[in-house]
Amino acid sequence: MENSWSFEKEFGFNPPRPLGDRVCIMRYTKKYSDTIIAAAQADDRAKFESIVGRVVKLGSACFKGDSFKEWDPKDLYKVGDFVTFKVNPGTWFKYGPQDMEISSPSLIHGAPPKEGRERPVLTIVFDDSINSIVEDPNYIERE
Amino acid sequence: MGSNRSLTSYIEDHEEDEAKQYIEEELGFALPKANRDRIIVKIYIRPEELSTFENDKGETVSIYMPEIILNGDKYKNFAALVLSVGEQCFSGEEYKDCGPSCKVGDWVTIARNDGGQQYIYRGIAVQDIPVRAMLSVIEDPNYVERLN
Repeated sequence: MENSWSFEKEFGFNPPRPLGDRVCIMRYTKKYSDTIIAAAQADDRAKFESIVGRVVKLGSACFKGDSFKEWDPKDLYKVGDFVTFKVNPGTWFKYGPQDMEISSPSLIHGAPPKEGRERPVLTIVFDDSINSIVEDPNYIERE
Repeated sequence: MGSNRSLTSYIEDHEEDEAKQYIEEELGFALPKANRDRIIVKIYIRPEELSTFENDKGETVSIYMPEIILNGDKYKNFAALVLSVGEQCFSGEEYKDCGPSCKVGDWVTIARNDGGQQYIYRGIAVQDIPVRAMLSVIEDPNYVERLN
């Protein structure tokens, strides 16, 4: 199924441009309903133990390696696909202008609350680090 | 592809000399020279002042990064500025269609532990890395905040 998702459209700035056979992945954080907020511990765990994310951008040499020679093209992931990978596939980092984040007045004394959203958390991995494409990231729960 | 056109670099062909000259002027000395397939990058150290805002009394308040965090950037931050690209970098067949991955003046992210050697060059923290340690080209080093 074609998807028209792009990082630029969602966040309004360019993602990193991965080099060679590397892929930029955005960590997926499980969404609960509007009336349920996850406990801080659950959120922390999700940050570093996540195994599902979204493909943000592909390097120009992706899928050109020998390990992909036998692959059916329809099995290759695309930008916008949700995929699974091993825990800690690479260095996780927040990416984007710092002023897009919400600054809480309880954390920074006297700072006015700002409208904003959390910066996306990204990592850059080799193209063969991806395990599978998933239909819905909410289906995945790590044991 | 043009002579040195790149799909990933933010530096256009005609800006290459200007970028190099600008960095040399900012640093105050000639750039180091990378050998063979190595790249020399300057590790990005975040600015001390993060942001300013006006409080309810109308006073301007600045938020500063603690010194201990800035000192850690030298060893932990993986955003860096490309200072020099060795002659053998990006000369292989795999770069025929996409051009060089980065040029002098690009901001990049690097793998800190992939065959690189960090040292201080005329007072600035640099790392000499192999091409394979280059991860991505980024728009702005301030966008990057390492989590693990």
